[in-house]
Amino acid sequence: MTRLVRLYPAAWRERYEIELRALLDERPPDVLDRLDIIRGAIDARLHPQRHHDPPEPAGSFGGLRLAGFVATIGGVLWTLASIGFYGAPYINDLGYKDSGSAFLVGATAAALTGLAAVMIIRLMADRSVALWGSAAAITLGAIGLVLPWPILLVGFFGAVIGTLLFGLIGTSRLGPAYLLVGVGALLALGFNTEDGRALWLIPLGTAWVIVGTMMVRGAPAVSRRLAGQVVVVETSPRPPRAAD
Amino acid sequence: MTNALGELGRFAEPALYILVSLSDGPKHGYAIMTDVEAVSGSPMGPGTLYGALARLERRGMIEALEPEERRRPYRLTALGATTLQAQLMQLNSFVRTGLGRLERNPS
Repeated sequence: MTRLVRLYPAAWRERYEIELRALLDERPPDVLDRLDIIRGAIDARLHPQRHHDPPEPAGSFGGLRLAGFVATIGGVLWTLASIGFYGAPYINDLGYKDSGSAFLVGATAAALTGLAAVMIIRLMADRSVALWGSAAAITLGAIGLVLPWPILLVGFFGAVIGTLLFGLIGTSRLGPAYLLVGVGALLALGFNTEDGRALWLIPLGTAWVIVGTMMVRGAPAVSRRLAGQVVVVETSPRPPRAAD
Repeated sequence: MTNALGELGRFAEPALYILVSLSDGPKHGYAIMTDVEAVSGSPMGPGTLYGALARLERRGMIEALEPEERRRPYRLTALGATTLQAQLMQLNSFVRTGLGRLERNPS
């Protein structure tokens, strides 16, 4: 039971843990209750109900936090893919390294970072062709990465150049953190599976992890920075608390 | 106002049950759960209960009272009562419309 309650974020537990435990002592949870608690913990992480924040606009904080999770996982996979490319054996001196699995991991990474980019762009409610083009390039690049040579190379450069464009535009619209993604993508252009430059992909993965973590941990602050760009209809102002 | 619960997404229905449960006086979590189960006929899981409680509290529709040992009662605020009344009136209108149409066009 303790492990289930610990799935909730610390701020939530500080406020509700004691009474939730009291409730669970009175009514020991069955399997469905346990699943409900897990679902509740995920919700609490995606939609933190912090009392010092203004009411959460539907679809902003949670969406940004979710995009952050996706970006972080994508970044970790980019890093793993680069290590895979680096360590993969040569088939022969003329051919590419035997790095099929690494391309698969890279394709998953590109798909996830493309998805994160799409989610961020939707939150920005930005209709610019350049932004959507960059997200499309990252996502379509993921498909190319699992196809045979030379399409895989086209897919790779599509994903990386799309990320570079996204990082540059994101920097101008949202702040310097997105510059990391752009710089990471710029370095990734030097990627080569044959001479050890595969490790140049690591900054790209690291940048997505940093940006993703920032979005997860500071989502409300970032959301406020998006204010005016995020399409949110606030249906009711923060209500006054009843007399204490 | 009528959309105040609608913005809670999947927590809108549990939130309505909680407001109804608190409309006859303060209750703590376990008492709300058992009351909701008695009224609605279906159980409400602990994760759903606290997800809805947190949202209602944050929006000022309910407020927490001083803890009684480990249990903390909640009570309806004026805003919560107004919201509940608006929701129930809306539901009442919906029910009347539906029943009226059924009476006019029995299948």
